[in-house]
Amino acid sequence: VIAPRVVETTPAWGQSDSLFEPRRSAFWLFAFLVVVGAHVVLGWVAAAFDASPAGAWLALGIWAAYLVVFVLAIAALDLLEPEPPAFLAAAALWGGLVATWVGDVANDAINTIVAHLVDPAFALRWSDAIAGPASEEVLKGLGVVVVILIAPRQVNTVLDGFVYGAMVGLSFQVVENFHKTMIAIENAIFVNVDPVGEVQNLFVERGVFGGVFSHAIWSGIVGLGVAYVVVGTRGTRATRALLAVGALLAAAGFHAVWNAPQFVAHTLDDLIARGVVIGLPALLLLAILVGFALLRDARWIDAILQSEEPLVSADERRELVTFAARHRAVWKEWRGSGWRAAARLRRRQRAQIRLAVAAARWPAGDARVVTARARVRRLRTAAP
Amino acid sequence: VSPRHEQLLRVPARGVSLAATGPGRVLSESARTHAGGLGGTLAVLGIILGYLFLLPWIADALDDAATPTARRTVAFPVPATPARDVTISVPEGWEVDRSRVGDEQRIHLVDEDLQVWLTVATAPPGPDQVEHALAQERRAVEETGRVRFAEPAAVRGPDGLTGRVVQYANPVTQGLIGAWGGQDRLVRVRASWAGARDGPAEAVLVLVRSLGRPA
Repeated sequence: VIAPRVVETTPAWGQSDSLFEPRRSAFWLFAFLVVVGAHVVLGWVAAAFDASPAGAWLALGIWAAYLVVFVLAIAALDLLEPEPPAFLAAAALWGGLVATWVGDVANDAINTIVAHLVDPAFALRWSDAIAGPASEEVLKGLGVVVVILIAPRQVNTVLDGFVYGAMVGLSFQVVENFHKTMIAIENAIFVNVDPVGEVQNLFVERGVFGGVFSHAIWSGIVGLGVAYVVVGTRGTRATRALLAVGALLAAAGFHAVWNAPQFVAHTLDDLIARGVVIGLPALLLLAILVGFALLRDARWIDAILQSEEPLVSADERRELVTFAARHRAVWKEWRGSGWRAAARLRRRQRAQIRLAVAAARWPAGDARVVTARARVRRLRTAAP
Repeated sequence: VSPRHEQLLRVPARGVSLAATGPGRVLSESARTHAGGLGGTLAVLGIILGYLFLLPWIADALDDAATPTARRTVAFPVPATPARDVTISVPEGWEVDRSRVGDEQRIHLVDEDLQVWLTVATAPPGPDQVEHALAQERRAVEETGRVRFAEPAAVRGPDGLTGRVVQYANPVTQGLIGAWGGQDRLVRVRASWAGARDGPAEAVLVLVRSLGRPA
Protein backbone atom coordinates (compact mmCIF):
# COMPACT_ATOMS: atom_id res chain seq x y z
CA VAL A 1 0.00 0.00 0.00
CA ILE A 2 1.31 3.36 -0.94
CA ALA A 3 0.85 6.13 1.57
CA PRO A 4 -0.11 9.05 -0.60
CA ARG A 5 0.70 12.63 0.29
CA VAL A 6 -2.70 13.67 -0.92
CA VAL A 7 -5.96 11.82 -0.92
CA GLU A 8 -7.85 12.68 -4.02
CA THR A 9 -11.53 12.69 -3.29
CA THR A 10 -12.17 12.74 -6.99
CA PRO A 11 -9.72 12.94 -9.84
CA ALA A 12 -10.36 16.26 -11.48
CA TRP A 13 -10.30 14.78 -14.94
CA GLY A 14 -13.81 14.50 -16.25
CA GLN A 15 -15.21 17.01 -13.80
CA SER A 16 -17.27 19.77 -15.26
CA ASP A 17 -19.27 22.85 -14.38
CA SER A 18 -22.01 24.78 -16.04
CA LEU A 19 -21.28 28.08 -17.75
CA PHE A 20 -24.50 29.54 -16.38
CA GLU A 21 -23.51 30.13 -12.77
CA PRO A 22 -25.65 33.04 -11.56
CA ARG A 23 -24.43 32.55 -7.99
CA ARG A 24 -20.89 33.40 -8.97
CA SER A 25 -19.88 37.00 -9.34
CA ALA A 26 -17.49 36.19 -12.17
CA PHE A 27 -20.40 35.08 -14.31
CA TRP A 28 -22.10 38.46 -14.04
CA LEU A 29 -18.87 40.32 -14.62
CA PHE A 30 -18.34 38.24 -17.74
CA ALA A 31 -21.91 38.78 -18.97
CA PHE A 32 -21.80 42.54 -18.39
CA LEU A 33 -18.48 43.03 -20.15
CA VAL A 34 -19.51 40.89 -23.11
CA VAL A 35 -22.73 42.89 -23.61
CA VAL A 36 -20.91 46.23 -23.48
CA GLY A 37 -18.14 44.87 -25.70
CA ALA A 38 -20.64 43.63 -28.27
CA HIS A 39 -22.15 47.10 -28.44
CA VAL A 40 -18.75 48.71 -28.97
CA VAL A 41 -17.45 46.21 -31.51
CA LEU A 42 -20.65 46.30 -33.56
CA GLY A 43 -20.27 50.06 -33.71
CA TRP A 44 -16.78 49.60 -35.12
CA VAL A 45 -17.84 47.42 -38.00
CA ALA A 46 -21.35 48.61 -38.80
CA ALA A 47 -20.22 51.51 -40.98
CA ALA A 48 -18.35 49.28 -43.40
CA PHE A 49 -21.42 47.17 -43.99
CA ASP A 50 -23.18 50.33 -45.15
CA ALA A 51 -20.25 51.52 -47.22
CA SER A 52 -19.51 48.23 -48.99
CA PRO A 53 -21.88 45.37 -48.23
CA ALA A 54 -20.11 43.02 -50.67
CA GLY A 55 -16.67 43.65 -49.23
CA ALA A 56 -17.89 43.47 -45.66
CA TRP A 57 -19.73 40.21 -46.16
CA LEU A 58 -16.76 38.75 -47.98
CA ALA A 59 -14.55 39.76 -45.06
CA LEU A 60 -16.99 38.27 -42.57
CA GLY A 61 -17.12 35.01 -44.50
CA ILE A 62 -13.36 34.73 -44.87
CA TRP A 63 -12.59 35.46 -41.23
CA ALA A 64 -15.38 33.21 -40.00
CA ALA A 65 -13.99 30.34 -42.08
CA TYR A 66 -10.55 31.13 -40.76
CA LEU A 67 -11.89 30.90 -37.22
CA VAL A 68 -13.46 27.50 -37.89
CA VAL A 69 -10.22 26.04 -39.29
CA PHE A 70 -8.23 27.09 -36.24
CA VAL A 71 -10.90 25.93 -33.81
CA LEU A 72 -10.73 22.48 -35.39
CA ALA A 73 -6.95 22.50 -35.03
CA ILE A 74 -7.19 23.43 -31.36
CA ALA A 75 -9.86 20.78 -30.81
CA ALA A 76 -7.58 18.14 -32.34
CA LEU A 77 -5.02 18.84 -29.64
CA ASP A 78 -7.70 18.67 -26.98
CA LEU A 79 -8.84 15.14 -27.78
CA LEU A 80 -8.39 13.58 -24.34
CA GLU A 81 -10.94 15.65 -22.53
CA PRO A 82 -12.61 18.05 -24.96
CA GLU A 83 -13.75 21.33 -23.50
CA PRO A 84 -17.49 21.97 -23.82
CA PRO A 85 -18.51 24.20 -26.74
CA ALA A 86 -20.21 26.64 -24.36
CA PHE A 87 -16.94 27.34 -22.57
CA LEU A 88 -14.98 27.60 -25.79
CA ALA A 89 -17.59 30.10 -26.99
CA ALA A 90 -17.25 32.02 -23.73
CA ALA A 91 -13.50 32.24 -24.21
CA ALA A 92 -14.05 33.41 -27.78
CA LEU A 93 -16.54 36.06 -26.65
CA TRP A 94 -14.05 37.38 -24.13
CA GLY A 95 -11.28 37.60 -26.70
CA GLY A 96 -13.41 39.09 -29.46
CA LEU A 97 -15.62 41.45 -27.55
CA VAL A 98 -13.99 42.29 -24.22
CA ALA A 99 -10.23 42.18 -24.77
CA THR A 100 -10.53 44.06 -28.07
CA TRP A 101 -12.66 46.84 -26.64
CA VAL A 102 -10.79 47.38 -23.39
CA GLY A 103 -7.48 47.03 -25.21
CA ASP A 104 -8.47 49.75 -27.64
CA VAL A 105 -9.11 52.21 -24.80
CA ALA A 106 -5.97 51.18 -22.94
CA ASN A 107 -3.73 51.40 -26.00
CA ASP A 108 -4.73 54.99 -26.65
CA ALA A 109 -3.95 55.93 -23.07
CA ILE A 110 -0.63 54.09 -23.06
CA ASN A 111 0.40 55.83 -26.26
CA THR A 112 -0.32 59.22 -24.74
CA ILE A 113 1.56 58.36 -21.57
CA VAL A 114 4.58 57.20 -23.56
CA ALA A 115 4.41 60.38 -25.61
CA HIS A 116 4.68 62.42 -22.44
CA LEU A 117 7.27 60.30 -20.71
CA VAL A 118 9.52 59.86 -23.74
CA ASP A 119 8.65 61.73 -26.87
CA PRO A 120 5.67 61.93 -29.21
CA ALA A 121 7.72 60.85 -32.21
CA PHE A 122 8.97 57.82 -30.26
CA ALA A 123 5.41 57.04 -29.22
CA LEU A 124 4.24 57.20 -32.80
CA ARG A 125 6.99 54.89 -33.97
CA TRP A 126 6.78 52.38 -31.15
CA SER A 127 3.12 52.57 -30.17
CA ASP A 128 2.20 49.18 -31.62
CA ALA A 129 5.17 47.50 -29.97
CA ILE A 130 4.53 49.01 -26.54
CA ALA A 131 0.82 49.49 -26.05
CA GLY A 132 -0.40 46.26 -27.63
CA PRO A 133 1.68 43.83 -25.60
CA ALA A 134 1.22 45.84 -22.40
CA SER A 135 -2.54 45.71 -22.50
CA GLU A 136 -3.70 42.97 -24.82
CA GLU A 137 -1.71 40.06 -23.43
CA VAL A 138 -2.98 40.75 -19.92
CA LEU A 139 -6.55 41.27 -21.09
CA LYS A 140 -6.57 38.07 -23.08
CA GLY A 141 -5.05 36.16 -20.18
CA LEU A 142 -7.89 37.41 -18.01
CA GLY A 143 -10.23 35.47 -20.28
CA VAL A 144 -8.72 32.22 -19.01
CA VAL A 145 -8.90 33.51 -15.44
CA VAL A 146 -12.58 34.36 -15.83
CA VAL A 147 -13.37 30.90 -17.21
CA ILE A 148 -11.67 29.42 -14.15
CA LEU A 149 -13.56 31.74 -11.83
CA ILE A 150 -16.89 30.87 -13.40
CA ALA A 151 -16.23 27.15 -13.51
CA PRO A 152 -13.21 26.11 -11.45
CA ARG A 153 -13.67 22.44 -12.16
CA GLN A 154 -13.69 22.99 -15.90
CA VAL A 155 -10.00 23.78 -16.11
CA ASN A 156 -8.36 20.71 -14.65
CA THR A 157 -5.27 20.25 -16.76
CA VAL A 158 -2.55 22.58 -17.95
CA LEU A 159 -3.59 21.71 -21.47
CA ASP A 160 -7.04 23.16 -20.78
CA GLY A 161 -5.34 26.48 -20.10
CA PHE A 162 -3.74 26.34 -23.53
CA VAL A 163 -7.07 25.53 -25.18
CA TYR A 164 -8.90 28.44 -23.54
CA GLY A 165 -5.99 30.81 -24.04
CA ALA A 166 -5.71 29.92 -27.70
CA MET A 167 -9.45 30.39 -28.15
CA VAL A 168 -9.33 33.83 -26.53
CA GLY A 169 -6.36 34.82 -28.68
CA LEU A 170 -7.82 33.40 -31.86
CA SER A 171 -11.08 35.26 -31.39
CA PHE A 172 -9.22 38.46 -30.53
CA GLN A 173 -7.18 38.07 -33.67
CA VAL A 174 -10.18 37.42 -35.89
CA VAL A 175 -12.13 40.41 -34.57
CA GLU A 176 -9.07 42.62 -34.84
CA ASN A 177 -8.45 41.44 -38.39
CA PHE A 178 -12.10 41.92 -39.27
CA HIS A 179 -12.00 45.44 -37.82
CA LYS A 180 -8.89 46.30 -39.80
CA THR A 181 -10.50 44.86 -42.91
CA MET A 182 -13.48 47.15 -42.39
CA ILE A 183 -11.13 50.14 -42.18
CA ALA A 184 -9.34 49.01 -45.33
CA ILE A 185 -12.69 48.77 -47.10
CA GLU A 186 -13.57 52.35 -46.13
CA ASN A 187 -10.18 53.58 -47.29
CA ALA A 188 -10.42 51.63 -50.54
CA ILE A 189 -13.74 53.22 -51.35
CA PHE A 190 -12.31 56.60 -50.47
CA VAL A 191 -9.49 56.32 -52.97
CA ASN A 192 -11.55 54.44 -55.56
CA VAL A 193 -9.82 51.09 -55.16
CA ASP A 194 -11.63 47.78 -55.34
CA PRO A 195 -12.52 46.93 -51.72
CA VAL A 196 -12.70 43.21 -52.48
CA GLY A 197 -9.05 43.26 -53.48
CA GLU A 198 -8.20 44.96 -50.21
CA VAL A 199 -9.99 42.22 -48.31
CA GLN A 200 -7.98 39.58 -50.12
CA ASN A 201 -4.71 41.41 -49.47
CA LEU A 202 -5.41 41.71 -45.78
CA PHE A 203 -6.35 38.07 -45.54
CA VAL A 204 -3.03 37.06 -47.06
CA GLU A 205 -1.08 39.43 -44.82
CA ARG A 206 -2.86 38.99 -41.51
CA GLY A 207 -4.41 35.59 -41.98
CA VAL A 208 -2.03 33.45 -43.98
CA PHE A 209 1.30 34.95 -42.93
CA GLY A 210 0.39 36.46 -39.59
CA GLY A 211 -2.33 34.24 -38.22
CA VAL A 212 -0.32 31.17 -37.43
CA PHE A 213 2.18 33.11 -35.39
CA SER A 214 0.30 35.80 -33.55
CA HIS A 215 -2.44 36.18 -30.95
CA ALA A 216 -3.55 32.56 -30.67
CA ILE A 217 0.03 31.47 -30.02
CA TRP A 218 0.82 34.23 -27.54
CA SER A 219 -2.42 33.72 -25.61
CA GLY A 220 -1.94 29.98 -25.65
CA ILE A 221 1.36 30.51 -23.82
CA VAL A 222 -0.34 32.81 -21.30
CA GLY A 223 -3.18 30.33 -20.83
CA LEU A 224 -0.73 27.53 -20.07
CA GLY A 225 0.81 29.72 -17.38
CA VAL A 226 -2.53 30.60 -15.80
CA ALA A 227 -3.63 26.97 -15.72
CA TYR A 228 -0.29 25.91 -14.28
CA VAL A 229 -0.86 28.17 -11.30
CA VAL A 230 -4.24 26.59 -10.64
CA VAL A 231 -3.71 22.91 -11.37
CA GLY A 232 0.03 22.48 -11.29
CA THR A 233 1.48 20.12 -8.74
CA ARG A 234 5.12 21.12 -8.58
CA GLY A 235 6.54 23.79 -6.34
CA THR A 236 4.62 26.27 -4.29
CA ARG A 237 1.82 28.34 -5.69
CA ALA A 238 4.11 31.38 -5.57
CA THR A 239 6.68 29.55 -7.68
CA ARG A 240 4.07 28.60 -10.18
CA ALA A 241 2.76 32.17 -10.23
CA LEU A 242 6.27 33.34 -11.08
CA LEU A 243 6.38 30.90 -13.97
CA ALA A 244 3.00 32.19 -15.14
CA VAL A 245 4.33 35.74 -15.06
CA GLY A 246 7.28 34.47 -17.08
CA ALA A 247 4.87 33.02 -19.64
CA LEU A 248 3.03 36.34 -19.79
CA LEU A 249 6.27 38.25 -20.30
CA ALA A 250 7.39 35.81 -22.98
CA ALA A 251 4.11 36.26 -24.85
CA ALA A 252 4.29 40.04 -24.49
CA GLY A 253 7.90 39.94 -25.67
CA PHE A 254 7.01 38.01 -28.80
CA HIS A 255 4.14 40.42 -29.40
CA ALA A 256 6.38 43.46 -28.95
CA VAL A 257 9.05 42.21 -31.33
CA TRP A 258 6.38 41.23 -33.86
CA ASN A 259 5.04 44.81 -33.80
CA ALA A 260 8.42 46.53 -33.65
CA PRO A 261 8.89 49.13 -36.39
CA GLN A 262 11.96 47.29 -37.64
CA PHE A 263 9.78 44.32 -38.51
CA VAL A 264 6.89 46.08 -40.19
CA ALA A 265 6.21 43.97 -43.24
CA HIS A 266 5.43 45.55 -46.58
CA THR A 267 6.36 42.82 -49.03
CA LEU A 268 5.92 39.09 -49.30
CA ASP A 269 9.58 38.60 -48.39
CA ASP A 270 9.09 40.77 -45.28
CA LEU A 271 6.10 38.69 -44.24
CA ILE A 272 7.96 35.42 -44.66
CA ALA A 273 11.04 36.73 -42.87
CA ARG A 274 8.97 38.01 -39.96
CA GLY A 275 7.21 34.69 -39.66
CA VAL A 276 10.46 32.75 -39.61
CA VAL A 277 12.47 35.06 -37.37
CA ILE A 278 9.80 36.04 -34.83
CA GLY A 279 6.88 33.70 -35.34
CA LEU A 280 8.64 30.36 -35.36
CA PRO A 281 10.37 30.76 -31.98
CA ALA A 282 7.00 31.53 -30.36
CA LEU A 283 5.44 28.56 -32.07
CA LEU A 284 8.30 26.32 -30.95
CA LEU A 285 8.03 27.50 -27.35
CA LEU A 286 4.32 26.78 -27.35
CA ALA A 287 4.87 23.38 -28.98
CA ILE A 288 7.35 22.45 -26.26
CA LEU A 289 5.02 23.54 -23.46
CA VAL A 290 2.02 21.79 -25.00
CA GLY A 291 4.19 18.74 -25.56
CA PHE A 292 4.99 18.56 -21.86
CA ALA A 293 1.31 18.91 -21.01
CA LEU A 294 0.37 16.19 -23.49
CA LEU A 295 3.09 13.93 -22.14
CA ARG A 296 1.59 14.21 -18.69
CA ASP A 297 -1.82 13.28 -20.09
CA ALA A 298 -0.23 10.37 -21.90
CA ARG A 299 1.26 8.98 -18.71
CA TRP A 300 -2.09 9.33 -17.00
CA ILE A 301 -3.95 7.52 -19.77
CA ASP A 302 -1.40 4.76 -19.91
CA ALA A 303 -1.62 4.22 -16.15
CA ILE A 304 -5.39 4.02 -16.15
CA LEU A 305 -5.77 1.78 -19.18
CA GLN A 306 -3.30 -0.81 -17.92
CA SER A 307 -6.16 -2.32 -15.95
CA GLU A 308 -8.48 -2.30 -18.95
CA GLU A 309 -6.80 -5.14 -20.85
CA PRO A 310 -7.82 -6.85 -23.06
CA LEU A 311 -10.19 -4.03 -24.09
CA VAL A 312 -7.11 -1.91 -24.58
CA SER A 313 -3.95 -3.84 -25.41
CA ALA A 314 -0.44 -2.70 -24.57
CA ASP A 315 0.21 -1.88 -28.23
CA GLU A 316 -2.99 0.12 -28.43
CA ARG A 317 -2.02 2.05 -25.30
CA ARG A 318 1.23 3.03 -26.94
CA GLU A 319 -0.71 4.18 -29.99
CA LEU A 320 -3.18 6.14 -27.94
CA VAL A 321 -0.94 8.24 -25.79
CA THR A 322 0.41 10.70 -28.31
CA PHE A 323 -1.12 12.74 -31.06
CA ALA A 324 1.47 11.54 -33.58
CA ALA A 325 1.13 7.87 -32.64
CA ARG A 326 -2.65 7.97 -32.93
CA HIS A 327 -2.48 9.46 -36.40
CA ARG A 328 0.31 7.14 -37.50
CA ALA A 329 -1.84 4.17 -36.59
CA VAL A 330 -4.85 5.56 -38.45
CA TRP A 331 -2.73 6.33 -41.49
CA LYS A 332 -1.26 2.82 -41.45
CA GLU A 333 -4.76 1.34 -41.24
CA TRP A 334 -5.90 3.50 -44.14
CA ARG A 335 -3.07 2.30 -46.36
CA GLY A 336 -3.50 -1.32 -45.35
CA SER A 337 -7.25 -1.71 -45.12
CA GLY A 338 -8.90 1.36 -46.58
CA TRP A 339 -10.61 4.45 -45.23
CA ARG A 340 -13.51 2.61 -43.62
CA ALA A 341 -11.16 0.63 -41.43
CA ALA A 342 -9.21 3.79 -40.65
CA ALA A 343 -12.39 5.59 -39.61
CA ARG A 344 -13.34 2.64 -37.42
CA LEU A 345 -9.94 2.69 -35.77
CA ARG A 346 -10.30 6.39 -35.12
CA ARG A 347 -13.69 5.83 -33.47
CA ARG A 348 -12.20 3.07 -31.36
CA GLN A 349 -9.35 5.28 -30.25
CA ARG A 350 -11.78 7.95 -29.16
CA ALA A 351 -13.89 5.40 -27.32
CA GLN A 352 -10.83 4.06 -25.51
CA ILE A 353 -9.87 7.56 -24.44
CA ARG A 354 -13.40 8.19 -23.21
CA LEU A 355 -13.10 4.96 -21.24
CA ALA A 356 -9.91 6.25 -19.64
CA VAL A 357 -11.61 9.50 -18.67
CA ALA A 358 -14.62 7.64 -17.25
CA ALA A 359 -12.44 5.18 -15.35
CA ALA A 360 -10.50 8.04 -13.82
CA ARG A 361 -13.61 9.83 -12.74
CA TRP A 362 -15.94 7.13 -11.51
CA PRO A 363 -15.66 3.77 -9.71
CA ALA A 364 -15.09 0.67 -11.79
CA GLY A 365 -18.69 -0.51 -11.48
CA ASP A 366 -20.27 2.82 -12.29
CA ALA A 367 -22.76 2.72 -15.13
CA ARG A 368 -20.80 5.33 -17.07
CA VAL A 369 -17.65 3.24 -16.96
CA VAL A 370 -19.59 0.13 -17.92
CA THR A 371 -21.14 1.97 -20.86
CA ALA A 372 -17.74 3.22 -21.98
CA ARG A 373 -16.36 -0.33 -21.83
CA ALA A 374 -19.32 -1.64 -23.80
CA ARG A 375 -18.72 0.91 -26.52
CA VAL A 376 -15.07 -0.08 -26.84
CA ARG A 377 -16.04 -3.75 -26.91
CA ARG A 378 -18.62 -3.09 -29.62
CA LEU A 379 -16.12 -1.20 -31.77
CA ARG A 380 -13.52 -3.92 -31.31
CA THR A 381 -15.90 -6.61 -32.50
CA ALA A 382 -17.49 -4.58 -35.30
CA ALA A 383 -17.36 -6.24 -38.66
CA PRO A 384 -14.26 -5.22 -40.66
CA VAL B 1 -5.76 1.21 -1.47
CA SER B 2 -6.44 -1.06 -4.41
CA PRO B 3 -3.75 -1.74 -6.99
CA ARG B 4 -5.71 0.36 -9.40
CA HIS B 5 -5.67 3.35 -7.07
CA GLU B 6 -2.01 2.80 -6.38
CA GLN B 7 -1.43 3.36 -10.02
CA LEU B 8 -3.53 6.47 -10.07
CA LEU B 9 -1.78 7.93 -7.11
CA ARG B 10 1.63 7.47 -8.68
CA VAL B 11 0.51 9.83 -11.38
CA PRO B 12 0.45 13.47 -10.38
CA ALA B 13 -2.99 14.31 -9.16
CA ARG B 14 -4.89 16.19 -11.76
CA GLY B 15 -6.68 19.30 -10.79
CA VAL B 16 -5.52 19.18 -7.23
CA SER B 17 -2.46 21.05 -6.20
CA LEU B 18 -0.33 19.08 -3.79
CA ALA B 19 1.27 22.25 -2.61
CA ALA B 20 -2.04 23.91 -2.02
CA THR B 21 -3.59 21.05 -0.14
CA GLY B 22 -0.60 19.89 1.89
CA PRO B 23 0.09 16.40 3.10
CA GLY B 24 -2.90 14.53 4.34
CA ARG B 25 -5.44 17.19 3.66
CA VAL B 26 -8.44 16.47 1.58
CA LEU B 27 -9.49 19.17 -0.77
CA SER B 28 -13.19 18.81 -1.14
CA GLU B 29 -14.89 19.62 -4.38
CA SER B 30 -16.89 22.40 -2.82
CA ALA B 31 -13.79 23.99 -1.34
CA ARG B 32 -12.09 23.89 -4.68
CA THR B 33 -15.16 25.20 -6.43
CA HIS B 34 -15.59 28.26 -4.31
CA ALA B 35 -11.99 29.04 -3.48
CA GLY B 36 -11.03 32.54 -4.51
CA GLY B 37 -14.26 33.21 -6.38
CA LEU B 38 -15.14 36.70 -5.19
CA GLY B 39 -11.57 37.81 -4.61
CA GLY B 40 -10.57 36.69 -8.06
CA THR B 41 -13.53 38.42 -9.65
CA LEU B 42 -12.69 41.66 -7.88
CA ALA B 43 -9.10 41.37 -9.02
CA VAL B 44 -10.20 40.92 -12.64
CA LEU B 45 -12.60 43.83 -12.28
CA GLY B 46 -9.83 45.96 -10.83
CA ILE B 47 -7.51 45.27 -13.76
CA ILE B 48 -10.27 45.98 -16.27
CA LEU B 49 -11.16 49.26 -14.55
CA GLY B 50 -7.48 50.13 -14.44
CA TYR B 51 -7.21 49.78 -18.19
CA LEU B 52 -10.54 51.50 -18.85
CA PHE B 53 -10.29 54.42 -16.45
CA LEU B 54 -7.01 54.68 -14.57
CA LEU B 55 -4.71 54.71 -17.60
CA PRO B 56 -6.84 57.30 -19.47
CA TRP B 57 -6.95 59.36 -16.29
CA ILE B 58 -3.16 59.27 -16.02
CA ALA B 59 -2.89 60.24 -19.68
CA ASP B 60 -5.21 63.20 -19.15
CA ALA B 61 -3.35 64.22 -16.02
CA LEU B 62 -0.06 64.17 -17.91
CA ASP B 63 -1.64 66.30 -20.58
CA ASP B 64 -2.80 68.82 -18.03
CA ALA B 65 0.48 68.77 -16.16
CA ALA B 66 2.48 69.30 -19.32
CA THR B 67 0.97 72.66 -20.08
CA PRO B 68 -0.98 73.71 -17.02
CA THR B 69 -1.13 77.37 -17.82
CA ALA B 70 0.34 77.56 -21.23
CA ARG B 71 -2.24 76.11 -23.50
CA ARG B 72 -4.56 77.92 -25.79
CA THR B 73 -6.67 76.94 -28.66
CA VAL B 74 -7.34 78.47 -32.01
CA ALA B 75 -10.74 77.75 -33.34
CA PHE B 76 -11.17 77.65 -37.06
CA PRO B 77 -13.96 76.69 -39.34
CA VAL B 78 -14.04 73.41 -41.13
CA PRO B 79 -15.46 74.34 -44.50
CA ALA B 80 -18.32 72.50 -46.00
CA THR B 81 -17.83 70.62 -49.22
CA PRO B 82 -15.93 71.25 -51.40
CA ALA B 83 -12.88 71.24 -49.20
CA ARG B 84 -10.59 74.20 -49.15
CA ASP B 85 -7.53 74.95 -47.13
CA VAL B 86 -7.58 77.01 -44.03
CA THR B 87 -4.43 78.74 -42.94
CA ILE B 88 -4.05 79.33 -39.27
CA SER B 89 -1.51 81.75 -37.99
CA VAL B 90 0.31 80.54 -34.92
CA PRO B 91 1.17 83.44 -32.64
CA GLU B 92 4.79 84.17 -31.78
CA GLY B 93 5.93 82.11 -28.82
CA TRP B 94 3.42 79.40 -29.41
CA GLU B 95 3.53 76.19 -31.30
CA VAL B 96 1.24 73.37 -32.14
CA ASP B 97 0.67 70.98 -29.27
CA ARG B 98 2.48 67.78 -30.01
CA SER B 99 1.77 66.05 -26.76
CA ARG B 100 -1.18 63.91 -27.66
CA VAL B 101 -1.13 60.52 -29.24
CA GLY B 102 -4.02 58.37 -30.06
CA ASP B 103 -6.84 60.22 -28.46
CA GLU B 104 -10.03 59.43 -30.23
CA GLN B 105 -10.90 63.02 -30.94
CA ARG B 106 -7.46 64.13 -31.96
CA ILE B 107 -6.20 63.46 -35.41
CA HIS B 108 -2.51 63.83 -35.85
CA LEU B 109 -0.54 64.24 -39.01
CA VAL B 110 3.11 64.68 -39.52
CA ASP B 111 4.80 67.00 -41.90
CA GLU B 112 8.37 66.56 -42.83
CA ASP B 113 9.20 69.53 -40.66
CA LEU B 114 6.35 70.01 -38.33
CA GLN B 115 4.04 67.79 -36.41
CA VAL B 116 0.55 69.02 -36.42
CA TRP B 117 -1.87 67.93 -33.81
CA LEU B 118 -5.39 68.69 -34.62
CA THR B 119 -8.18 68.53 -32.14
CA VAL B 120 -11.62 68.23 -33.52
CA ALA B 121 -13.97 70.10 -31.32
CA THR B 122 -17.04 68.22 -32.30
CA ALA B 123 -17.53 64.57 -31.57
CA PRO B 124 -16.36 62.06 -34.17
CA PRO B 125 -19.07 61.15 -36.63
CA GLY B 126 -21.31 58.26 -35.84
CA PRO B 127 -21.56 55.32 -38.19
CA ASP B 128 -24.61 56.79 -39.86
CA GLN B 129 -22.64 59.87 -40.84
CA VAL B 130 -19.82 57.99 -42.45
CA GLU B 131 -21.40 57.19 -45.74
CA HIS B 132 -22.50 60.77 -46.15
CA ALA B 133 -19.03 62.05 -45.27
CA LEU B 134 -17.38 59.58 -47.61
CA ALA B 135 -19.63 60.69 -50.43
CA GLN B 136 -18.69 64.26 -49.69
CA GLU B 137 -15.04 63.38 -49.86
CA ARG B 138 -15.36 61.52 -53.12
CA ARG B 139 -16.97 64.57 -54.64
CA ALA B 140 -14.23 66.77 -53.21
CA VAL B 141 -11.60 64.59 -54.81
CA GLU B 142 -13.35 64.73 -58.14
CA GLU B 143 -13.80 68.47 -58.00
CA THR B 144 -10.36 69.42 -56.83
CA GLY B 145 -8.47 66.70 -58.61
CA ARG B 146 -6.34 66.18 -55.54
CA VAL B 147 -5.26 62.82 -54.41
CA ARG B 148 -6.38 62.40 -50.89
CA PHE B 149 -4.60 60.57 -48.19
CA ALA B 150 -3.50 57.10 -49.00
CA GLU B 151 -1.73 55.98 -45.92
CA PRO B 152 1.21 55.95 -45.63
CA ALA B 153 1.99 57.60 -48.93
CA ALA B 154 3.05 61.19 -48.94
CA VAL B 155 0.50 63.77 -49.92
CA ARG B 156 1.27 67.03 -51.61
CA GLY B 157 -0.50 70.22 -50.84
CA PRO B 158 -1.47 72.81 -53.40
CA ASP B 159 1.54 74.94 -52.59
CA GLY B 160 4.02 72.14 -52.92
CA LEU B 161 4.40 71.48 -49.24
CA THR B 162 4.29 67.86 -48.41
CA GLY B 163 2.89 66.02 -45.48
CA ARG B 164 2.49 62.46 -44.55
CA VAL B 165 -0.45 60.87 -42.92
CA VAL B 166 0.97 58.77 -40.16
CA GLN B 167 -1.90 57.49 -38.17
CA TYR B 168 -5.50 58.17 -37.56
CA ALA B 169 -6.70 57.26 -34.16
CA ASN B 170 -10.32 56.90 -34.98
CA PRO B 171 -11.11 54.61 -37.88
CA VAL B 172 -14.40 56.32 -38.45
CA THR B 173 -12.77 59.65 -39.14
CA GLN B 174 -9.89 58.05 -40.98
CA GLY B 175 -9.39 59.69 -44.29
CA LEU B 176 -11.78 62.49 -43.55
CA ILE B 177 -9.46 65.09 -42.17
CA GLY B 178 -6.09 66.09 -43.41
CA ALA B 179 -3.58 68.77 -42.71
CA TRP B 180 -0.43 70.16 -44.17
CA GLY B 181 2.14 71.82 -42.07
CA GLY B 182 4.38 74.21 -43.81
CA GLN B 183 6.08 77.10 -42.23
CA ASP B 184 6.22 76.83 -38.51
CA ARG B 185 4.25 80.03 -38.07
CA LEU B 186 1.49 78.97 -40.35
CA VAL B 187 -0.45 75.81 -40.13
CA ARG B 188 -2.34 74.92 -43.17
CA VAL B 189 -5.24 72.72 -42.46
CA ARG B 190 -7.58 71.11 -44.79
CA ALA B 191 -10.40 69.64 -42.90
CA SER B 192 -13.31 68.73 -44.98
CA TRP B 193 -15.02 66.44 -42.60
CA ALA B 194 -18.09 68.12 -41.45
CA GLY B 195 -19.40 66.73 -38.36
CA ALA B 196 -22.15 68.32 -40.00
CA ARG B 197 -23.97 67.34 -43.00
CA ASP B 198 -25.82 70.65 -42.90
CA GLY B 199 -22.89 73.01 -42.94
CA PRO B 200 -19.48 73.81 -41.62
CA ALA B 201 -18.24 72.58 -38.32
CA GLU B 202 -15.60 74.03 -36.10
CA ALA B 203 -12.29 72.49 -35.24
CA VAL B 204 -9.77 73.58 -32.67
CA LEU B 205 -6.05 73.61 -32.97
CA VAL B 206 -4.32 73.22 -29.64
CA LEU B 207 -1.30 75.40 -29.11
CA VAL B 208 1.27 75.31 -26.37
CA ARG B 209 4.04 77.67 -25.36
CA SER B 210 7.15 77.23 -27.41
CA LEU B 211 10.06 75.99 -25.43
CA GLY B 212 13.22 77.94 -25.86
CA ARG B 213 11.54 80.72 -27.68
CA PRO B 214 10.51 84.10 -26.42
CA ALA B 215 6.90 84.20 -25.45
